Amino acid sequence: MARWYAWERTAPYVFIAPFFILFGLFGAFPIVFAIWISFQDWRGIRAGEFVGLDNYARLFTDSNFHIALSNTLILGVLVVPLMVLFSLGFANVLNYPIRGRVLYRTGYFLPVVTSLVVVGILFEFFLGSTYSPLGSALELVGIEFKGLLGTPLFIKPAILIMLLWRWVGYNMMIMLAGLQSIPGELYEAARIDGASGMQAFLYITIPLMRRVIAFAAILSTIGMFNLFDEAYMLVGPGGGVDRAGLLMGLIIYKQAFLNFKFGYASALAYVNALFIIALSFLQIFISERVASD
Amino acid sequence: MPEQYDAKTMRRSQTNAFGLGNLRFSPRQSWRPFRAGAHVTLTQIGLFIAFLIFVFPFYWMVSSSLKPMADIYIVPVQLWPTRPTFNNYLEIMRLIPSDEIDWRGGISLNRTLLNSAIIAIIYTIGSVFLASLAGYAFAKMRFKGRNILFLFMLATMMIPNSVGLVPTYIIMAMLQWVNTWFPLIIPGLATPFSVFWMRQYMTTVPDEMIEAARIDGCGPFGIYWRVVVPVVLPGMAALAIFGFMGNWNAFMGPLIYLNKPELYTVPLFLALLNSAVAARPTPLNLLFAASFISILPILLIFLFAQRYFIAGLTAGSLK
Repeated sequence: MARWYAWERTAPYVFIAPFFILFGLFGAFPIVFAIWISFQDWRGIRAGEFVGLDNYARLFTDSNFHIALSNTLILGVLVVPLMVLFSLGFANVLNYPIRGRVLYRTGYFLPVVTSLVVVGILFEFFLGSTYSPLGSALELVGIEFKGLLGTPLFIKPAILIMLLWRWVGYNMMIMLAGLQSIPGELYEAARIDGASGMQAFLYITIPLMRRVIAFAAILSTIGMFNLFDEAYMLVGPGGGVDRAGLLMGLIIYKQAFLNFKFGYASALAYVNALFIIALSFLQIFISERVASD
Repeated sequence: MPEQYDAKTMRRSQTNAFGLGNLRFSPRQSWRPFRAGAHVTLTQIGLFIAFLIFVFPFYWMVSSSLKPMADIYIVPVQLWPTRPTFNNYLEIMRLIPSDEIDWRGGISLNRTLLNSAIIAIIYTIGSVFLASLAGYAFAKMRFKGRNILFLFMLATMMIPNSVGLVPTYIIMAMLQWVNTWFPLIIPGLATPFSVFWMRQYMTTVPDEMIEAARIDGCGPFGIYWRVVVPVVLPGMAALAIFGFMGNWNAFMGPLIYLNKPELYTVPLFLALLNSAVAARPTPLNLLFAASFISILPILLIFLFAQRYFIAGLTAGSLK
């Protein structure tokens, strides 16, 4: 009997141990270890010397970092509102018992099921190849098509289109779940009071969806700062022509695993994390502020 | 065990912890207070155009994978494959010899499909098992340090994965795990989100049910295995699908850790086929055939288990 009780008392620890041992080593420890690495001048996997804040100071003069940060911010400013707009729009329409909504919803969600590498391959072809439907269409109206990805001006729009195509369905599902938690009686009451569909959307849906919208916006922001797979496939680790597609996710990878500057890459990763956390809190703050007004 | 708590009823009545698994798939009859009226046609047209945009790349991938190479590299392109052939699939699967594919490193799609399947299945089983064990402890057991450990775990979720990239690589190098599959399986098992997800499901299991099993002489592991797991199977299914898909599609890990072609996973192999540095780029018809095969498993899971899929994926966003 005593043994039974002892087992009951230790059981919780035994249950969480397998997870927490791995979590300690591969989840928590790297976060601390990364700070230490960022203060070192690592050469490959061998620990180098302590260089203090040198790696962070280097951020101020590194043009790659400046370009990657501004590209990420520019794309983020475009992607996040468009993503929210499209996904909320589709979700709102598909929440009505409209003909074919199951088909539409499945179709819009299909890109989410596709691996990011395949998405990259598809968009590199569609936007970059002479033998793509786009190329043929432009050829028909007499425009010679050499592919958009060779022109710096078109690289960001190409990434933008790819991101919207891949992720709108995903955000739409989040929005749909949010919409379905709004009680139907609210709309019923609004209708009886003579509100139009648009008014109901503006004064019921939007305020009640505030948190869900903020959630989707934060996810898109985080995704933008961590964007790697699709961008790597579309423009390569160097960011394409004129570094027009160089993003934070790409330079962290490049500095770490192509240049083997582990210290600097860790400093970059931490700065990236600070941007993500700061922007997330900013968006939460704004959405709560809007609510209290 | 009281009758009303059998696993089936529980599952049916279980409220999804995030409200995301409850997407209704049938139109909501009681709720159509606003008539879209004349806008209906316009809306339908808009929805249909959007549908075409979302689905067209898939159509193009499949139709191109059925064209012989001569029909790919022409302008204007063929909207419909006039001479459909399965040869691309046979070539890419190495069932017929091919002059077009330069098998870099001597590996084939078949081999990388097998590699990916092994890695993803081991990962999925391990992840669901570890996360559900820990999730159960956090949801239903009392022990010292429970809340602190849980909060600590959640707090680390705020730090993006890119921070851990370099340190994890150094740890893997020290363990001599570079060029093995361990880095693609082990660190992923320590994802706080999975534990969080399982814990949310476990909290819906009634305490009386666990107490009843305990009185009947069930030990802690017996309760977990015989009472709790059957009830939270939907949650585990969603987590499994989410985990499997993430692992199957993972690109950065294999890119960093695998240099030996025989260890490659499917996404890495596709990137290699697509790479511009290759002396002889893979013809598009073969590349699209390979791409389509690579997304097929996930596509099938999606079509057959949409509900779990969407629940797992949209909540997985919390990561």
